[in-house]
Amino acid sequence: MNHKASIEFVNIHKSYQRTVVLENLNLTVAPGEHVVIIGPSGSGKSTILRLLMTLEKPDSGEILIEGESVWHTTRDGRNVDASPAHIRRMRGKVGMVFQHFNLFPHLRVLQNITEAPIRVMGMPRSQAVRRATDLLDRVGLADKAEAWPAELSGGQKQRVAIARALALQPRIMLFDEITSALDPEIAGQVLQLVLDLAKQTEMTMLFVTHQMRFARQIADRVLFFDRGRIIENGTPEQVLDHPQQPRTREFLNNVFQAS
Amino acid sequence: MLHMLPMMLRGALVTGEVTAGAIVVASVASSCAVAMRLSTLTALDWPARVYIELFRGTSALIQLFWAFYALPLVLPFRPSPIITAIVVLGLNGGAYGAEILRGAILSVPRGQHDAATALNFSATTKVFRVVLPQAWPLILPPMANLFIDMLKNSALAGLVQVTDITFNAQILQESTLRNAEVYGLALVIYFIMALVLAGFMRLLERRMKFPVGARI
Amino acid sequence: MMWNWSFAWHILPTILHGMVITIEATILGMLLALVLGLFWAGLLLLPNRWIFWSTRGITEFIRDTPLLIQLFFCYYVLPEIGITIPALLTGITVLGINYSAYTAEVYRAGLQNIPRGQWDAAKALNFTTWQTFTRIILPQAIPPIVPAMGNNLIAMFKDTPLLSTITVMEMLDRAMIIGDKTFRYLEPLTMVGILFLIISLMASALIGFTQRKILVRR
Ligand SMILES: Nc1ncnc2c1ncn2[C@@H]1O[C@H](COP(=O)(O)OP(=O)(O)OP(=O)(O)O)[C@@H](O)[C@H]1O
Ligand SMILES: [Mg+2]
Repeated sequence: MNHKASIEFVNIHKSYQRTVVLENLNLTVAPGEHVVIIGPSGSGKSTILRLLMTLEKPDSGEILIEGESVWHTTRDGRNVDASPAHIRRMRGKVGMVFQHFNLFPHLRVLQNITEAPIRVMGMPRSQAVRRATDLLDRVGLADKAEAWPAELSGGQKQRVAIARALALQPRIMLFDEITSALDPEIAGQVLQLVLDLAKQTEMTMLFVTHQMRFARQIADRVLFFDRGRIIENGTPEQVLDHPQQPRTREFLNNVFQAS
Repeated sequence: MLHMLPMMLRGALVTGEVTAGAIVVASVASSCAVAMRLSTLTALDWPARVYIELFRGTSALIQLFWAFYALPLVLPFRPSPIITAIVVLGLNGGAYGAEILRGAILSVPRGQHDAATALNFSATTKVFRVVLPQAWPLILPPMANLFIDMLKNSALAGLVQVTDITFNAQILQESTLRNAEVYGLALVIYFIMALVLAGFMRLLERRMKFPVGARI
Repeated sequence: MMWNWSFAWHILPTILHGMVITIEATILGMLLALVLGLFWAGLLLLPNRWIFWSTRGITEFIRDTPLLIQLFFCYYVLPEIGITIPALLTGITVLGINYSAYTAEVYRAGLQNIPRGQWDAAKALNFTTWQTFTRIILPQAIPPIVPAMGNNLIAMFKDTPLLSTITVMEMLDRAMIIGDKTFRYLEPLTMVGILFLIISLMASALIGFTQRKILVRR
């Protein structure tokens, strides 16, 4: 398995109505790699993660997860649209944490986490509860199991959302600006949690973030993105300290001025 | 006035039956219609649209008269008045109910759909465990109003031979000529029935509440 | 029994004649509802509990009882207390009173959306209460509620067939008379239904249009 790439985008095109978001995108991520995507607003960063999470479907091209196409299968030697069952199996390999948490407001914290293991994996309730309790402990919210999401602070909500995504034990985790709705101090705590998590697991991880310090700490590789294209691609030192493209330099200047 | 009461109360029972029956029909019809409206297949979408526009665009009384006087001429059989009334008033309410359901379902934020997909929920789990529970609190208050409208609309059934409050009131009025008493009593009975129905719906509403945050 | 086109053409003028009365009743009824509803809404603003609760009680009773029975009540009881007016006028009055309970709610919502600061500013400029209400508050409160009032107008339009039960010769009444005479109900009733459908669809489209206009302007 290890020789296979964890994620491959091959000639991906994606547009919404009139706006072309991604044009002929090619991207490969190795198993266990931590990739940080940076870039200006509207450049298509979220779209990449949403495509991987199958929240969006590419207009053309192939997305491969662990060497297997997400949207297509071969039948009688021909490439055909994959069945919903196939797509769901592929989707099961990926988990995602959202900018605005997207917790289920009608379910208590513990239920937010146990719902998917029980209904998607068919896990017995007692086992799901045990796992959820462990995860809550790991994100430092053991005492909030019976709280409603509305009773939590932003940072706490995001911790629950992380635990919820982890409960399905995905092989790939996607983090889309998970701290941009949080106060800087709280954001730091959540990012520390993610850093610890990244050390403890072998998951492939993709991050979209504007936190350059965090990017430096966690990234094996940084991609700078502009208007749906990868402008720069390298180690944190290469991209953040010695950017080759004027566009990257301009963006980084703006980010550093803002912070 | 007391001697009118038994007959009016018998009418109230029938009014209750017609209303309850119509509410059941409306619930089924609006659920089907909204499922068709929200499906991605246009072949399902447009019949539901036609149904909703047809029943919302014309008047309940015309629908009822049409079903009672014109429809039996094309049907091979003649349904009983009470069945006709229940079906027509139910379909009428269902058209309004479908719009209530649609508005509430569409107001569940996209992030909730995203989260459900990201957790690999099946379509059914998504609908029944994520979307509908959040739509409920938005559905119940306008539904309560709709049900009260349906109770009031059930009075029209009395015009097509259903022996409800209205029908019995008309008979009493003709035989006693005590107009104010008969129709005053009818108004009060309808009012009480509406209050009971509203109270019941409020109870249901209270049981469906959960603490909703500004942004989850 | 099949649809008979020549019969349909033959009765069309009679039904269209009824439509004039239908529209007349709708417009006059709505005017009454607009005025009376504003009156209720004004009473609800007064700082007097007794007035507030009795107004609430009246409008609640009107909204929770069937229009049909309200019509019967007035049609039979008004002459008893010495008021003999044409059935059409009774119908218009009852429609207007009935819908005033709904327009009152619309006005109230519109008035509640005016920030307190507007009242304060008017007071600071030494306007009288009446001036404040008519020159400052109402002009701001009315435009946003136009669509809701339009929906009430359509709803009232669809309730006018009830007037046929008190002998008002509007569309449905004429259709039923034709049906009773010829034993052909299919054509007249279907035609009335279609006419209602056309008018309410057009009116809905118009309301949607004004709503977008108002949204753009704000
Ligand atoms: N559902 C949609 N419908 C139409 N256009 C969309 C939709 N989602 C995204 N877009 C457009 O696609 C482009 C890329 O969006 P995307 O969310 O990927 O940007 P982003 O890089 O994540 O930006 P940000 O930093 O602001 O989150 C933007 O121009 C956006 O307006
Ligand atoms: Mg984004």
